[in-house]
Amino acid sequence: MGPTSENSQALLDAAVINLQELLTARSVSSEPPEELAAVDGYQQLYATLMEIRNSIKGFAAGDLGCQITKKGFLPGSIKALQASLNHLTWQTKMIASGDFTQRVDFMGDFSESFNSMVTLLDESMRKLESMAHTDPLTGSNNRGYFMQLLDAELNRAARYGRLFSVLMLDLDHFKQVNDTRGHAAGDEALRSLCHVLRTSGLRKSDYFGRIGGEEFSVVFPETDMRTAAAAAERVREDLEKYAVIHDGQEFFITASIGISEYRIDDTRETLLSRADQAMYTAKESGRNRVCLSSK
Amino acid sequence: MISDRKYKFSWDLLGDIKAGRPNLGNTTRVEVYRLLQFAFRDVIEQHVGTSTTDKIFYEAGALAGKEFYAHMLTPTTDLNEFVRQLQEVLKELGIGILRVEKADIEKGEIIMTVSEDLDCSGLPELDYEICSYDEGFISALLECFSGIKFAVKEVDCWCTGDRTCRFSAKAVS
Repeated sequence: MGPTSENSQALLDAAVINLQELLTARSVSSEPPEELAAVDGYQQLYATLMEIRNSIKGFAAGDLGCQITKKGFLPGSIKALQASLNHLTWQTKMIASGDFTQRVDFMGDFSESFNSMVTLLDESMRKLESMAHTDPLTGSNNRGYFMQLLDAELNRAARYGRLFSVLMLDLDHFKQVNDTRGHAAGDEALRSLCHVLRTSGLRKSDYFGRIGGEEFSVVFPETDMRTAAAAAERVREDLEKYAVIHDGQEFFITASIGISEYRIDDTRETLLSRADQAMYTAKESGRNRVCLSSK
Repeated sequence: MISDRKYKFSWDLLGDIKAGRPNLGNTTRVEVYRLLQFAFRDVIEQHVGTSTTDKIFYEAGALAGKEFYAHMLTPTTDLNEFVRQLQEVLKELGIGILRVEKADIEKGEIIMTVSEDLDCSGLPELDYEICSYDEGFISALLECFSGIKFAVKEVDCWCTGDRTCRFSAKAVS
């Protein structure tokens, strides 16, 4: 072996050690040793490996933003991983903003776990929303949520010049039911009323809520007061025939109902107040009847 | 500008495929699509040069993107919904797997990747990005969605050794 071959072997040995260090050592020089830098292509190879090393090191430390400028299979594969992790970050942000449609399909077993987590989060959010909107006793909209829906209806009516009507309903002699049959019977009466409201032919677009105690309200979008009164009359008739069953005993309940129709510049308070007045008129004129707001 | 156009694009030109291909149906192989595109690219380049060829492909992609948005997507102002729709339709049609890395419409900056891309995934390494048609396509989709003009540049491509195509979109002021 001549001196040139010996020199080549020495360079090769140095290159192997140098590259081995690049792969395994905790800290390395940003430049190759001088004697190797002189070898054709070595400096480029070193720079490529250094960039791959730095990007992997960055990923390990949670830095997904590192720039990978080198081309080729290995840098490309790292960029593909970077793209996936960046997309995952974006998806997580979307989920945090309430978009539970996000699903991962490119991260093996992690995808399944992640997707299960999102599904559970979605279900939990739906349950929480439902709980926040629902009256626990009757399952109807609670007062707060009903008022939100009513405000939206008022805005829609004001913006597009549409009409709608509102019904106020109060169970007759409810205190007497509680006093004579007990509060559990009163609760059953309220649940029965809601059952009747759900099954008396209200349209899908109509909605109701428990305003408080034995008082309920129904909104009839795109409906004048006379048409709403016809629907209210069906509810009243169905309710008086509906047998409330509690503790093996049947009893019957009735309701007084008042109706008002939206007017320009109405607020939630003025609209409900007119329906309330009509409902009191129904009470004062004998109960178990429907009265329209005249004002 | 030619006033008497023979080839002005219309979605109707895609034809009634169901009636026209009752036996072969509505799919063909990716090679056929690439054969068409790369044959066009070759001949156009010979006629007008590389730079103009890239420009033509970008503009053709933009025209296709505009028509695609109008006929394949439901208009929305919500970015999540736009991305979701686009992901679904691109996957369903076998065009590619779209993933968003970053999106800030207010700043006018979006980075997205398309994996298993119809145009380039699996091509030999060429040392240059090739998806100029995709660039135009994406720019038009973003413009149709946001009303803002975007310049789209492919920064990583299968052809440059990357496993996914990465596009950087920036609003043009």
